[in-house]
Amino acid sequence: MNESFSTLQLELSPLLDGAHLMLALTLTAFGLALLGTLTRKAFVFRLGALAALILTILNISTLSTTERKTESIALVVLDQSYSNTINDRSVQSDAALELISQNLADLPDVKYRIITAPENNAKFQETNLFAAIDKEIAEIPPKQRAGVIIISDGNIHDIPEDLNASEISEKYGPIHHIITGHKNERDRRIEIIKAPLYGLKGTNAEIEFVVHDTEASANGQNISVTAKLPNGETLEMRARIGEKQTINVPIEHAAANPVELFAAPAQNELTIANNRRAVIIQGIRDKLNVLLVSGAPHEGGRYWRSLLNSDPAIELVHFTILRDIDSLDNTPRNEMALIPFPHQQLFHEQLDSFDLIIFDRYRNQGILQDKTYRNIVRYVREGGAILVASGPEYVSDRSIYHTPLGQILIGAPDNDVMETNFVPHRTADGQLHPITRNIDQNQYEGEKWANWLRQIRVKANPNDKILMDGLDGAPLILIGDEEKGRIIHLTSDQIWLWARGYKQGGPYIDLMRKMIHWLLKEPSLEEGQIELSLAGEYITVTRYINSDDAPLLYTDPEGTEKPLKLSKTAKRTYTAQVPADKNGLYSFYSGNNRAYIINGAYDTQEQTFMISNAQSMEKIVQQSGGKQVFADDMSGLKISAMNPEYVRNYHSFSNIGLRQSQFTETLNVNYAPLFPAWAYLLAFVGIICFAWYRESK
Amino acid sequence: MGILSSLNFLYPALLWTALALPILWFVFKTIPPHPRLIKLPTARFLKDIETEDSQKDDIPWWLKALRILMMAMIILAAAAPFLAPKTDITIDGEALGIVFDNSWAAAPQLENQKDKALSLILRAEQKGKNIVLIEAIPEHKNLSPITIVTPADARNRVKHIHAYPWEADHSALLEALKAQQEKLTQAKTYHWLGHGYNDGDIEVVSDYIAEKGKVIYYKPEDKKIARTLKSALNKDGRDSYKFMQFDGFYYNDQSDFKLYLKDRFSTVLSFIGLDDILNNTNEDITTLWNSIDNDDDAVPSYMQLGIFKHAGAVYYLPAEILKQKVGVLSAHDAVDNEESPLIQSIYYISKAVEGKAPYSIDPLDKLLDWGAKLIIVPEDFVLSQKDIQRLDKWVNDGGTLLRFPPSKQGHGETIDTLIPIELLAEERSIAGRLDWQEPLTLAKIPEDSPLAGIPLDKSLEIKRQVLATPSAKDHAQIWAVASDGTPIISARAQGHGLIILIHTQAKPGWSNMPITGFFVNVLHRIVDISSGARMQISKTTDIENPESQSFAPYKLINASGELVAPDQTQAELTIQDIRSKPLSYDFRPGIYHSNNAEYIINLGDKLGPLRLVSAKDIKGTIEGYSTEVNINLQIYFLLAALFLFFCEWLSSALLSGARYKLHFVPRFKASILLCALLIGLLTAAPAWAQSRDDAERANSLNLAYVETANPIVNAMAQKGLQYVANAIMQRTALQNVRVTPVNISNDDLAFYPLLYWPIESTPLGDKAYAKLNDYMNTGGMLFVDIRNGRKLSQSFYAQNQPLSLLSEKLFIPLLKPLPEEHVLRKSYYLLSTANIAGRYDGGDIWLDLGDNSGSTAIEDNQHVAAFIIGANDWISLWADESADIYKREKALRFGINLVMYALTGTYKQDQVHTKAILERLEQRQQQLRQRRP
Repeated sequence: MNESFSTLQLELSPLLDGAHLMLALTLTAFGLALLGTLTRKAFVFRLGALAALILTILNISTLSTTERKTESIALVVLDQSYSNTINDRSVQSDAALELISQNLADLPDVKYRIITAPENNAKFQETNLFAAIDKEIAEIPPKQRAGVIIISDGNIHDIPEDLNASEISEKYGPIHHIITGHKNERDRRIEIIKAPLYGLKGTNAEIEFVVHDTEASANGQNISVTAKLPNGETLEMRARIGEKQTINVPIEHAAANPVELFAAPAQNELTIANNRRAVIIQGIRDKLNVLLVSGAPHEGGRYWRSLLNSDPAIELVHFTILRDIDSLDNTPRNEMALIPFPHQQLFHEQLDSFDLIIFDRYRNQGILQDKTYRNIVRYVREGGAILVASGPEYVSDRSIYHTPLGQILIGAPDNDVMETNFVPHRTADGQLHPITRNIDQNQYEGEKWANWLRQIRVKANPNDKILMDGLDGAPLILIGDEEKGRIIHLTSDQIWLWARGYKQGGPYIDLMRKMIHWLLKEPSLEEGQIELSLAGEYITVTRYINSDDAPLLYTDPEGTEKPLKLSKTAKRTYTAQVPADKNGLYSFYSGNNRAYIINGAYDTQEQTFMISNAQSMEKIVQQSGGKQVFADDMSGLKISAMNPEYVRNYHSFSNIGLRQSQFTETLNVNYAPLFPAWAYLLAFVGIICFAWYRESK
Repeated sequence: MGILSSLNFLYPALLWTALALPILWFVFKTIPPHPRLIKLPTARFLKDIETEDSQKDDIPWWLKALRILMMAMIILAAAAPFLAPKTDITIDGEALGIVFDNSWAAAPQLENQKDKALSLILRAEQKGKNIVLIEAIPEHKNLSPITIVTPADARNRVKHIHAYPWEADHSALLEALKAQQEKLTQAKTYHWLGHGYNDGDIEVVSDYIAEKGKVIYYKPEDKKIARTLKSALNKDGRDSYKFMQFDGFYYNDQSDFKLYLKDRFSTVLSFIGLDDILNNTNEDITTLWNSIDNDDDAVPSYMQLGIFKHAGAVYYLPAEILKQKVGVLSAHDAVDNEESPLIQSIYYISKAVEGKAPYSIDPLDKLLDWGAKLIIVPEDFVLSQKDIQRLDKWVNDGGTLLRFPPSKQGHGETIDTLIPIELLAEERSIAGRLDWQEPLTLAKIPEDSPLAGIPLDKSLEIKRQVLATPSAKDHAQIWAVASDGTPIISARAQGHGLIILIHTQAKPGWSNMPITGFFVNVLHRIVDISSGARMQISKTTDIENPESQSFAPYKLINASGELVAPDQTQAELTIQDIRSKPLSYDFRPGIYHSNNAEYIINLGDKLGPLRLVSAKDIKGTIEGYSTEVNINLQIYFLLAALFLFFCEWLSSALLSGARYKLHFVPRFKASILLCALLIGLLTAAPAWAQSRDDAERANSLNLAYVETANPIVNAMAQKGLQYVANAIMQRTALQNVRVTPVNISNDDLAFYPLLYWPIESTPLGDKAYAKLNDYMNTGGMLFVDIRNGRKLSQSFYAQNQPLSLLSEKLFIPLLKPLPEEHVLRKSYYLLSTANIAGRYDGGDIWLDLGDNSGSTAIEDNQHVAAFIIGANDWISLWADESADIYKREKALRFGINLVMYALTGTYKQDQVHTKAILERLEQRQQQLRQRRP
């Protein structure tokens, strides 16, 4: 196809090495200078003879090469990102591609490769066309690169900026841009300027956003923005287009806190997809403050201490009664270690700072007063949490049940202490409840754990939920709500047996952990919690308790609320599938249970800027010597190959140009001396003789 | 004979022209002197004088002889004379076969190969045969390696053969030979001009050629065989420029060999002798580097083996290698070796930096004097206000500061400004045993982060971090983000410098990061950033998404080991190509650049283990290159002719009266200028230039003692402890206290918070020891009373039989004497006497204080001792009702304290914290009030 051509090059291969050659030439030059002054006649001939001699020493040879120009390779890049598929853009793109490939197929010396970018799984992310171009073009030697033809809406997010015109031209050749979409498109979008990635639970996170409109005249207009807060509330506010707005969002969970903003759409808007934005703020818990109130030193006391102290995220304040008021000891007080315990501060002033109060075998020894207990009752009702681990003292006359605390305690003392072996066993409720559904399955499959040896019999109220029972079905773990607060009653003081490894022990850490976090209202431990998992193109919704009074609803990324019917699958497991065909936030809620999942990325550049954009590529196209053409104006477009030696701008009126290859392939090389040595010498002889002849005249 | 017999002419026919020389004698005519016109008025009378033609018709005979001699030199030169020893070779085909090895190893003796080739060509020429020339690497990739040429063309071709810095592809060569079989059949003898190494599959080519004719392989002399330098891994398995491997021909005597370190101007910076260096072992060449580590000006460019100038003997280094000086701040001059290095941050930091850059562990002023470009502050180093000021200035001037969570020991007095991001006062702990959250993992490295490309380590877990205030992210750059969105590495530019914070410690504990490859990669990258250099992609560490990076040649290494500019014909390469592709026309050794990374390909690293060509590789004979040298005499004749030319010219000129010329000076000046111009041009031209009653026991408090073989001791222990139990029930809130004898081997130890062991020298079974170890590990407290009243330090292991038995089978933690402030002295009563007396009062008590005994104060330590040992025989005193009341009371108080310690642990210590906790609760209360409007 390409014709071969030959080149001839002259080469010096001096008979002398560098230094000696220099010396010889220098001496010659001096000799020449000297004699030049002395000679009048036949100087030219003498010079000629000398030249013949020097040329012999320089030993000039010819290098004849037969070469062939290689084909140049052009890249045709089709943008298949989300923004280039809306409305009629994909139709435009396909037509453009068709036209270009036809044209290119007709060019004899140009091969072309069609690349589509970004890849399907990234089409909602960013249009990184240049990354794809760079990857492909790397396989083509620079001299063979014919240029790049890009079919895109112009929303390209990796346009190189650090290259100068000659570097661009050298690297890519001419870059031509076929712009899809139409002139004068209008779009409104919401931009989140500032959103913290995380926030401390219990604080407010500040989110700043701006509503933009491509229509300049819309600037300053008040439009409505709807915000959906993590607690499920919706907030409607007014926002001025183009101006910054701030919204404070309470961080309520130590998990994902989704916030969604939606700006009211404009007329004739290109797309409303970018009018909605979601932000997820990770809630982070500060240290957990736990107040441990022990009745007397006992074996389990060490267990509570070491369990709570071993977690650096827990701040433990421990209050123990070491000496009863009726204890007999005549040791002088100054020989005893006495702690001035700040009752007032802890049980009154700062009680609300505690996340959890644990009563460990506490009996009313007259140290805490009724007003103290009443304060604790208030604390629980306002959202606090208490965990009671009772021992024999609970059935005694000093039981805390007989204090004002009794009004909120679950499980009334039944005056029986059972001291026989029993293995803690999960009730039907317990097998469903998230606290006990799975307890440390890795280590204790089924209920293969050690027995306990003492349990206090209590009478449970029908409203209380019993998760585990012990001897003869007597309630072991009772959980209950008290207004806004939560209570757990563990009717045995022997969980420490598991910790100390008695008969291989039991899952004490996992059980305690879940009880503590249920008390702290961890959403994933709520009864009837919704479990979501995203696999492939479906979101699988799973629930273990499916109450009929609170139906399950969900909203998709576009804000449409739909009911969802769950079907019973395995034992007491209810599932349903939702197609995840939209990008963004899916929220599921039923009663107090909520769950969120995000499909794909939201808030990406790709889904932000959607209007047809000719500006982004303008500079690079110009620098490379290429041309931008709207897809609407493409008819009659021709492509031709141009020689880079003669053109700088690879385009003309209805023509876009590609760079011809400058890369040659060597077919053959042949070395030969320019003339044989004797020829030079013959010349020398001839000339010198003539010189002599002239001189003799 | 001698010289004459080895004298040869390329064109002997031309010698015949010499016959014409004598003719010249008669041809030369006279040189007439220039007629001169001298106007001399006084000599007008001479006009009349009759002139006689006194001019000689003939030039002087010596001039004639000069001319003839010059002509003779020219004729001799034209005949191209050269000296070559006469070796007769038989050429029994239509042509002579020459195989020319011109891969990398040919570079040191390419001239020898060419000489040999030229003399072979000459023989062929003399016999009128053509040459079958086979080049192992043809000049262009599309050219055929096999050509049949005339001797004259062959000579030209051979002159233009170059060595190439890669190995010959013998399988491709074989294909080419097979394709042009008919050419190969022309010659019956093949002279293989080898370089001594088997580039791989040389056998197949030699076997194939041997089918066509005889093969004579020429092997270079030992000292000329090329050797290579290869990178080697250090003891930790990472690459380091301080470890090298040598491969190639092995010399017994290498005293004349040296390994040089040179800068880009080929100035020797340092060298080491190679006397003790062996082949194919990783050699520590740290000494080569030591001498220049502290030299500010030294910029090593490459290492060179001996004086060899070929691609295998040089090893190019990253350009910025010595500018990457890393300082690790330490209060002491050297790492404190007394403590276990595995718990020290400095250990992990220096391990990660080692081999990447020169580093120094020193106090601040030393580091600043040394010129560190990166200073790493380990978390346990406390910066003083003065340090902060100095570092601040240093950062402004362009230093890079890498910090770990700042130590709190100095807080309050100093204002630490050298933190890239505002931090919350409290550290955050994740994934404690009761925490709902899983340990943090690394989620991502933002694309604009300078750490982009470092692969995320899936096993990485972070359990503690310092947390940036959520709103602070505007001021700093986040380089790495954890799974919950919190920053793990943050940075901020300050002045010309950079402050980087890794939000977790540089030693294991907070996270396992220090023991991951990720940590090493991050530190390496930071080292690169600090020196402004391109990121170095090493051979052992990987980067993420390697496909996304393409590397273009920046400088190439030629066969002579020099760096040359690349041409534009090479396509870019991916990192896999670079690591696995063999070198060829399209992939030459050199320095390759991607957007921000650099990869240096040295030929040595690309070569497999080198094998010398042996007799079994070649089907034929192996000979050495004879010492024969072809001396081309032509040039000498030419130079002689040139000399004579000038002599003759001068003579002629003088004879023709040039000495009388007057305008000598201006012409001479012009000629000098011409000369200077010529010399200038000539010198400028060569300017070419780098992890039954259980219920009873469980439902009451048991004071347990270990039953011994001695019934008296058992009775005493039972009685003694009962007194303690009675006292406890009487005096404290504790009820239901019993005394239980325990048989370690049979009983379940889980019920006993405290185990009193009046130890006797009866060995226990292995199972019993295992149970005791378990007991201590699950929170039990073992109290051993050796009952001899001695100081433990004296009676410990050696002299005390029961103890030495214990120490063998029991895992006893590190013990220390009971500190004055220990909680055991105040768990119920205050026991302040140094020695807590039993029957004896001379013994002391030792116990384990937990892991972090070294640095943190006892008050902070929540550790409860699992093992306590004393010698004062307390049970005897407790059991003895007749003892001194005062003394016994003291002992009972100790017993109560011991039980309380076992039950409440460090409870009595909390008073130390109460104040701080109250303050913090106060703050939180305020926070909550703020939130509820």
